[in-house]
Amino acid sequence: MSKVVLLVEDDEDNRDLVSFVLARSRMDVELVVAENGQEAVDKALAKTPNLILMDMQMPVMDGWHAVPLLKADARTKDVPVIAFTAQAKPEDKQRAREMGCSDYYTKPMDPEELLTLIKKYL
Amino acid sequence: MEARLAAEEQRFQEEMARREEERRRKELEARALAEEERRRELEIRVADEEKKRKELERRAAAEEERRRAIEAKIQEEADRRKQFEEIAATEERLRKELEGKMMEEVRRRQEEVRMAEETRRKEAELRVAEEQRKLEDMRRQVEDLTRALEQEKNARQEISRLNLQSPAKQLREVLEAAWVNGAPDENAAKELHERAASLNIPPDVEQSLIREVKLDMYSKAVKEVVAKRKLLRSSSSTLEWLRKVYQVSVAEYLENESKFLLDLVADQYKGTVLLVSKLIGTKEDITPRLKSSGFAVVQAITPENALEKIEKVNPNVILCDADFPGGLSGVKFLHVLRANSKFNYIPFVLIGEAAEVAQLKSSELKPNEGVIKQPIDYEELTNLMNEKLAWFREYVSSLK
Repeated sequence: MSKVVLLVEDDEDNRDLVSFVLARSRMDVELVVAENGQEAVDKALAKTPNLILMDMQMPVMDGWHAVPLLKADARTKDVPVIAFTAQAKPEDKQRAREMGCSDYYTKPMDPEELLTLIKKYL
Repeated sequence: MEARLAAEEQRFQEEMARREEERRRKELEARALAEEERRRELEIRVADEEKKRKELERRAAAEEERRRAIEAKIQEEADRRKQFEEIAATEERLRKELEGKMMEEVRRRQEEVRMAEETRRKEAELRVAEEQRKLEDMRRQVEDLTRALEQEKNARQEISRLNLQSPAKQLREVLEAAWVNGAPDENAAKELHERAASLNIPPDVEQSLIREVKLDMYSKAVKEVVAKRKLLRSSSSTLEWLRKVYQVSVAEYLENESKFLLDLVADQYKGTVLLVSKLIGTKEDITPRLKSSGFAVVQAITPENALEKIEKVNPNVILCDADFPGGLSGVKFLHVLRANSKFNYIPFVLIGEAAEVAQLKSSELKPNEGVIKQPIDYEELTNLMNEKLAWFREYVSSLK
């Protein structure tokens, strides 16, 4: 049975790139995409994913607000979340950890590195 | 009374005399005893002295013996030294003789080498003249051969098209679907092979189609990635990852590198160089420098190998070593290219030894041809490549 990965990312090119990389990963993965934190919470509660890749800077609702909501709900509290961000700030990394994120990934992406990280949680 | 007194006196005198005699006798006896004692002591001492004398004589004899032995050794040593001196003198004489012979030999060899060089030079001159004659023949033969090959290739393509068009097209479509996201797994590959067999596609055609589809799909994936390269940490590691995903070998990658990377390096891409060299060192030295100057580099190990690749690679410049033992030399390769109207406009730069370079420079080089001497001055090489490339661009635009 396919593992479900929820990708929360407002940038279309980045969504396409993650989709491109996952398609070539030989992993049995179903990719669900959300364009902001609100949509991510709705989709995650409707169908619990196996992993969430969460961009932290987004319009409508960003990752910093969406992750606590996901961690507060019994259906999604144990789903590992990998926080995506464009800047490698140590305080953000610490904040994401405290919020319950399992890992932290700084863009720009490296396909092999990203796949290694995803495989770690699937 | 007087008589008795006299007799008594006499007896007394006699008694006294006897006693005196007795005392003297005892004294003499004591003296004799003492003398005897002294004599014995003297005898003992004499015996000791005798013993000591004999010991000294024995030692003297031993010393004499040792002295003689030492003298014998000294004599022996002197003899040996004399022998050594004689041997050393002989060796010195032989060494001088040998040196003389060696000098003679060196002079003789130098003379032989000079004669051989002279002969070789004359032979080379004759060969050059012969080569010139042969090259004209070869040029005609190559033109005939190229025409014949072209006709044969067209005929073969026509036959293949008629025989395989439909099944091959079907298989290609199936392959494209299977390879779109990378190399199919083992089971999928097996199914694809069975499909090819069911379509009666020969194994070599199947392999050729797989290779085509693989490179096409990889090329498309590269273009997708290139379009998003600003989102990627490193274009080169992403291309390397894709190369693994599509199971494109390094050789296949290098052969098609210019095609794959055309877009990626469009802002700095100058052109494609076909580097013809069998020397690993030359390739390792030149390739990165050309790449950093904006050239895509495709390698060939011999001129024959280059001829196989040239149409596919479509190089902007050919950079070629002079020597390829047992096959076409760099100069002959240049003549083959000159004789073929499809290739004679491609800029050609020959890497040669100083003597060859001087010889070639003095001969008639066309504007799209150049030579550079070993060891390579990379600034000179870059200038030469840019010069030939500029000629090439001008030539191409004049055609348009």
